[in-house]
Amino acid sequence: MKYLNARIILPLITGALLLGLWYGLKSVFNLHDFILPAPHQVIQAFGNEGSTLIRATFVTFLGAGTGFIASVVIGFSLSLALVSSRWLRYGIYPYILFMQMIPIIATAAIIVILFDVGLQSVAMIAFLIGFFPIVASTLQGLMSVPVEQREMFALYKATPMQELILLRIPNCLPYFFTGAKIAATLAVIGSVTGEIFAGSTNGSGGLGFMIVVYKSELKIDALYAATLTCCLLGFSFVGVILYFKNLALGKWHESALPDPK
Amino acid sequence: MPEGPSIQLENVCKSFDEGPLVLDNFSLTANPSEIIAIVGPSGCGKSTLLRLIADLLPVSNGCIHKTGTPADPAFIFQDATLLPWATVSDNISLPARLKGVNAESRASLAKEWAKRVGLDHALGYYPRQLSGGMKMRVSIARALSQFPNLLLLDEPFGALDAITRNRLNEDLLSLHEQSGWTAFFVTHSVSEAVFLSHKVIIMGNHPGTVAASIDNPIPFPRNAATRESMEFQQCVADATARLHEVLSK
Repeated sequence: MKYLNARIILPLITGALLLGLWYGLKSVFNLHDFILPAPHQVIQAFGNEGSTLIRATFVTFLGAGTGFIASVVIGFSLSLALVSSRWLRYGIYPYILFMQMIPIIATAAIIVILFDVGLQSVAMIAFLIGFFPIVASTLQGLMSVPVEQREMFALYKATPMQELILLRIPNCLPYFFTGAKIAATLAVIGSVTGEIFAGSTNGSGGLGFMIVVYKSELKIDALYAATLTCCLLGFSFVGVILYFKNLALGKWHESALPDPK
Repeated sequence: MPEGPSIQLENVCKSFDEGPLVLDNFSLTANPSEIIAIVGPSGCGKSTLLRLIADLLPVSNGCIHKTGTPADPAFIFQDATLLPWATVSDNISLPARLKGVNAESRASLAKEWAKRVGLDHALGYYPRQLSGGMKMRVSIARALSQFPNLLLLDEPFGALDAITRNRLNEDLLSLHEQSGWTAFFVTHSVSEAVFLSHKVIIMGNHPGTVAASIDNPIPFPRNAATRESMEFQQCVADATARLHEVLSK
């Protein structure tokens, strides 16, 4: 109970200090509301722009969610293919690495040229940014099975399919969820980045698009509100992943157990 | 009592790729249902030897004859090698699952073997909830659950405390009395080797060879009291002396 209190009270104290610092900086440097709005103004902006932000969040959620699910499904399947064939691994993996090296902004620009503005491009960008962490971590999990466990399976003449399903896939799950957690954060970032480039103008822009709009309208408090909403959306994505991770690993894996001390 | 196969190693040599010889002209005979203990310095190729006998690795030269009952091997590793995501019950019945036995028979098999190794209260536990000794019991139950007739044990009790280790040694001998497998037991402990075996092989180093083969005169059945007998103490002292002789070469 004491421990739980500390988990709640300490972050609240940090939050209060940061808010104090925010107000302090604003008054010490005498910053104009266009440069740095006060926290309460940002909260007001949530009220004023409420319906717009909710709609925009939903649009971003669609883009990020579609992209993320695609990166999980395609990333996991590709990892299974790569682990079952050395030739495939040698042939393809360097290009997956290569793709990861392209800055996401450049990817976004190219995707928009290829697929035009709209949800399809946004989802594509969210997919591309989340895809690599999933493949990299899942593949590592599939490959890093202790040699003695493989010997045991060999001794009992397990088929390659049995080895995959009963040994490699369960072994990769903790790694997969680490990758999925990163991909979930990146999916929102990718989706917002995508919208900055590829957001549509016909009243259905997502948070990224609204950030561009608020900036041009000098609604800086609303810009802050939209940015915070991106963070909240990212948190909720990660929350969903943690829920599934706990469901899958809670009983047996150390990472799913409570912190020591 | 069922009988294990007879295993005969004839001038077995093993090297990995182009590397140096790990085992050189290794010859050794295990009669049906005999327990052979293998003692030797670290890195002398003991684990490799077990993997050759289990057909997990091919020999580079020489051959391994298995005669009598067709060999059906099981391996008990240094580490318990349990699947961390599977319960005690699922771990014990894993070999059965790999053979395609249905879930119902697997559950009753697991129950029976958990009982034999004293873990019937822990069937639903996951490995992280078990102590080192309990994990090793699960590993033993898993290995024995398919009634192997050839058992390969690679320093299975090395990481356990002396009390647990002695108990597991006694359990292993009483299981052997019932099922009569032929066994190769690799260990660092001379007293464990003497307690368990019909024959103690002392291995020399670089490359691994048979430095000495000691027939163990201590009669079966053996139990905790055996360790206190003069005969046992003498036998351990002799074997230790031979081991030191080999090590000082």
